This record gives sequence, structure tokens and C-alpha cells, in this order.
Amino acid sequence: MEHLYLPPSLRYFTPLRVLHGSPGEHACFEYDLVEALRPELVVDVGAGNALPFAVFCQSMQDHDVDGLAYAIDVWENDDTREARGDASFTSLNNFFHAHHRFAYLLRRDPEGALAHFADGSIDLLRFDLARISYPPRELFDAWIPKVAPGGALVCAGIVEGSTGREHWRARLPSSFVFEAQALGVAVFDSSGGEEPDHDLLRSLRAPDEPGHRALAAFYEHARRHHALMIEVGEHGTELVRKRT
Amino acid sequence: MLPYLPKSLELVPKRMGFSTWVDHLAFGYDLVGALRPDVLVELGTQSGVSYFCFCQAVREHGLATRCYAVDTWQGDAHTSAYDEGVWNEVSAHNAAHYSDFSTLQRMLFEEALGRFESESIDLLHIDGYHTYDAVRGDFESWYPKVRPGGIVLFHDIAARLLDFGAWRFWNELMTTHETFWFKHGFGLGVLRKPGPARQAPLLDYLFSKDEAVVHTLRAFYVHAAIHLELTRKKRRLDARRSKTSASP
Repeated sequence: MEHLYLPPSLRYFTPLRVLHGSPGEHACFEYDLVEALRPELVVDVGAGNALPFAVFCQSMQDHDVDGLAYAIDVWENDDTREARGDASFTSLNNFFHAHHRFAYLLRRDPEGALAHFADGSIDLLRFDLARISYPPRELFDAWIPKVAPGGALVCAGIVEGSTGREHWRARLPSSFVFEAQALGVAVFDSSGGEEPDHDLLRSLRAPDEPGHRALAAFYEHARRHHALMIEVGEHGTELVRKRT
Repeated sequence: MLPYLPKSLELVPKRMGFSTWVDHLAFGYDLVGALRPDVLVELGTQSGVSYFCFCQAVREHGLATRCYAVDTWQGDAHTSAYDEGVWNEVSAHNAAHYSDFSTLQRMLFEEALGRFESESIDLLHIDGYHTYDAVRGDFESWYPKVRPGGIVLFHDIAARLLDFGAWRFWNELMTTHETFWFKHGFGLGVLRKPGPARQAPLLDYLFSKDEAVVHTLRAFYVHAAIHLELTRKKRRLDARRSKTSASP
């Protein structure tokens, strides 16, 4: 049975942080996940340009989630152009200081950051395997115990055929994967074993292939909608500039 | 959960024009797909923005609907008199795309009334002259022609300008019938005649007793209208870009 679903990302989300015309491939999903989960502790390991981290923080703020958020990365030896510009450590620090005072950047590698977080304490943990040089298996073994009961784990870069994907599937066999973007999502059991009371979290936990495909299609629509908003808006500005 | 993701989110309307109905195109398109009407009648077609959206839905959903547009194509006190060019464009568009199932009836509504049997119309769209008496008269004349379980649409039920009175008649209908209404695009009322109803998710949402569902449905089709507008703007920008890049 189809279900009428219009999440916050399509009702009122206007991304604060946009790089190269995009708030990130999964911005809508990330925004809605925070609204659903209401995490009091968010940790992003391999935060990089911090687009997803900024979406998490914006959603926390928009939905009055009284929490803390930590982005972890070394932010060095990175010769991409964006890292030198809007995604440099200084620029990121300025952005989060200006917009989200509950958010902090930890300039550490994943191993060095591990000791800062107790087991079972993180409500929303994110990895970006593309930015982490550790073997995925060791990363998962070290960090997954940090996730709180009822919390969620999001993992970017679990490309089909990669060892990251292999270990993800082995460790979290019934989790949700946005195949087109190689993004894995796992919502953990709550301490009491009860089902979440939010549609999105229930969908992510349901071992229902058609449901997962439909949810992925829905978020593809949401992504295209935001891309249109940004492109139409930006190009409008461009035209105005040309005219003047 | 299977999120509702209707076909209208991919809609590229073949017929556009200046009309507040533009905001309801996505809904109209999906309603036809959900209701699968055998007979569809529109009273007051003007440039055909809503009517040809219905026709496009019939075609793209692969339905066997017979569609009828009734209008004098001469205008009224609210629209002012039409140029004959409006009729020429509408009839040309109909001939080019939908003549196998769509008929334009260029006459007064009361002249067309006798051409339809009682309880034969599955979807009736009332969008003629918008005074209270005119809308009430159209409804009272045509309601017997609507099949039990069929749907009647009313446009402009949120328009409070000039001597428009659709809003006042709609307020009366809401107390006696199963209804839903959109507030955007000058308002669109949806009324279901009692009787055996078709089953489809959209029809369940429309007439749900759950206020949260009703509220979400309104918001969903505002989103769909915005999405359609963005896709149209994007196409216009792309056209301008290619024009600019082609020019020396």
C-alpha cells in the first residue's frame, strides 16, 4: 500500500551550505534522517568538505534538537581545489561558528578520535570511506560499538564490488543501501526492542526490497527537486549579472 | 513504506497558457490516472490548460476515456470576450493530439446537457461563469449526469474578486457532501457523489477522515506544482542557454 510521505526536506529545507551548485547527493535524506532520529550526539568521520555534516547540523537546528555535533578529518594533504577554498579547515570553522555553535571540527584521524567517544553514545554516526584510509573492517569494528541503541549509521562510498561494501554487508546484512549513490544506512535496535515511531526509520529497518527501492526513488526525486531549485536560482542570478 | 510518487512528478505538459489552473496540473493529471474515468466532461475550457492536461493524462495512462469540452469560446463578463484565435488554437491542438477520444462541443452548457445520459459522467469539471448563481446552476443541472461515486471538480473556490461566488457555493456544498479542497491556484474543490467509489491511493487520501493525511495531501500537491514550475523554468533556461551559445 502506498503511503503519503512529504518529509521536511521537501516542505521547507533550503540548504545553507552549497558547494559547486550542490548541497550534496544525499542532502534531503540526511536532513530527514536527523528530523526522524533527533540525535543528541552526531559524529561524522571523514567529514571532508562537510556538506553532509552541515546538513545534519542545519536539521538539528531547524528541528530544535538539543545536541552536539563533531566532524572528524585531518583536513591536510588534500590538494583538491575545493579544500583550498570553501572547504578548507579555516573556512569550515568559520561556517560552523557562524551558523551552528553546537558543531565542532576535530582535526584527527579516525583512530585518534576514537577515545573521545564512549561506547553506545553516538546517536548518528557517519563515515565516508573515500576519505578514510583505514581498512573498512577495522573502522567498522572500532566505531560501530560507539553507536547508541536506536541510533543510526550512515556510510558513504560502499561501492559495489569494493571491500567496504563487502564488510558492510557482512556486518549489517539487512541494512538499507541507496545503490545509485553507494550509501549504506543502518538503524540499530533500541534498548527496549520497540520499533521506531517514525515512518522513515521504520522503512529503513524493514527488510522489504520493494519498499527500499521506492524509498530510493523518492529521494532521487527529492535530490532532483533541490538541484532544480539551485540551478534555476543560480542561473537566474547569472542572467541578471549578464544584463547589468 | 512505499512513498506515494505519482506520475505527475515527471509530467511535461503539452499545452500551457496563462491560467491559475497551472497550479493544479499535477493533481488533475494524477486524478485522471487514479479515477480511470469512462467519461470526462469539462464545462468552461477557454484555452484548454486544464482540459488538455486531462487528455494528456488519458493518453499517457493508457485509458479508454471519452473526453468532452463544452464552451462557446466567446468569453464571458469575467474573462472578457475571446478572440477567435483561442478557439482556433484549441481546436487545432485537439485535432493534432486527441481527436480519437476528445470532442469539443462549441455551445452553451444547457445545449450540451441533453447530449449526456443520467449518471454517465465519471469526472465533471465546472469552470464556467463564476458568479454564485451560475456555479450553483451548473452544479444543479449537471450533478444528475454524474455517476454515483464520480467526481466533480470546481475551480476558483478560493477566488474572492469581482462578483465571483464559487467560494460561497462551495462552502455550502462542504456541509452536505464528501469533499476535499486545495487552497492554492485560486482553489480547487473536489466533490465525490455518494455511491460505489473506485479504489486508488489518491482517492483514499482525498477523502480520508484523517486530518493529517488531508493536510499532507494539500502540501504534497503544492510541492508538485512547484516542481512542475521549476522543470518548466529549467527548460526555458536551457533553451536560452542553447540560443546564447549558438549566437556568434
